[in-house]
Amino acid sequence: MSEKTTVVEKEAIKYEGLFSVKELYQLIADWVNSKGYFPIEKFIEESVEKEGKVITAKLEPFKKLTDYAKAIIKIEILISDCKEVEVTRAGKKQKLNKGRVVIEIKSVLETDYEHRWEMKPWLYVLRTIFEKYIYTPFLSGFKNALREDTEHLKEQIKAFLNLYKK
Amino acid sequence: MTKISTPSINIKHKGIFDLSAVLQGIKNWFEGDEFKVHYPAHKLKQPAGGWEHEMTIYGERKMNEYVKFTITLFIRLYDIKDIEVIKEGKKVQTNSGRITADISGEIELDFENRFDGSKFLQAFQDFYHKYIIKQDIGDYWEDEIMLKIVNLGKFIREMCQQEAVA
Repeated sequence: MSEKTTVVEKEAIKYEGLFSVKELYQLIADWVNSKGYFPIEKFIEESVEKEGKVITAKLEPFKKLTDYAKAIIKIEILISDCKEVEVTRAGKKQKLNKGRVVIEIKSVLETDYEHRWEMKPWLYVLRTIFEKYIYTPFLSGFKNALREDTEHLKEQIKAFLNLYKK
Repeated sequence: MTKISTPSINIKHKGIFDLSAVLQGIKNWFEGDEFKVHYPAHKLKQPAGGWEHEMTIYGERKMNEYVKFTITLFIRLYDIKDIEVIKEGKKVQTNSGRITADISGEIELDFENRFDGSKFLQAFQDFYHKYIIKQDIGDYWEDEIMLKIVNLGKFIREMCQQEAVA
């Protein structure tokens, strides 16, 4: 089995108020593309309820760093009580959404994702030695880069949501 | 013949959508991307809460003489009701209900079984996959099919007029 190491623990960004669902989703998609991650939308659910729309999305963009290591950012989005409203901003009428947003972000570094080092017991032992003594500097470099990417994404989302705060 | 499966994506939607447009759109999407469309299973039920539709659709496309893509879509529509809505001042017949869609893909290498003749050919094929076209499979074909799966998911969500579409 491949090994998954949590690099950044799950942290939630919470927001309530005006925002644009489309723009928020676009921001995440653009960020994923610009950083060279492959966009994987594992699960998306959108339902219309009495209190407003409920949108649940689980995104798992990943980036193959080498044949051995892969960076994965797990993004869970929950938007609830989402209603469409019309507001006037800078003298212009604009259609926005009003609701609650919870975005949880966690990042994981997956090693041996091609399952090459697990075929035989001696290979598994060799892999442990390889990771511990030879590949460590590379792995810590990957972890630092993934940590930076995750923090950057969080900052981007927070900045985006702050734009709508009054 | 070697088969490589890709991760699947799952979409759920509850609300108003045009059922026939969604189904026709999916067929057009496959055909527009040069896939041959097959409908191996189709179930239709009419319980009290609204009718149910369950179908499997898969598209096949030969990418070259050696690589074939198969994208399978399992779609379940339930609580489907015919409704009338007013759109731009005009009455329009449409549907309300729920959709769940699972999309998965498979890459078939050597789909014409050219390397199946002898043990030598199989060993040669193994060498070919592991050392000659390894990068093509991992970095090109796998990404290519995943992009198509992501695009099909996006297309279905657009057809359902979901908000979270980038």
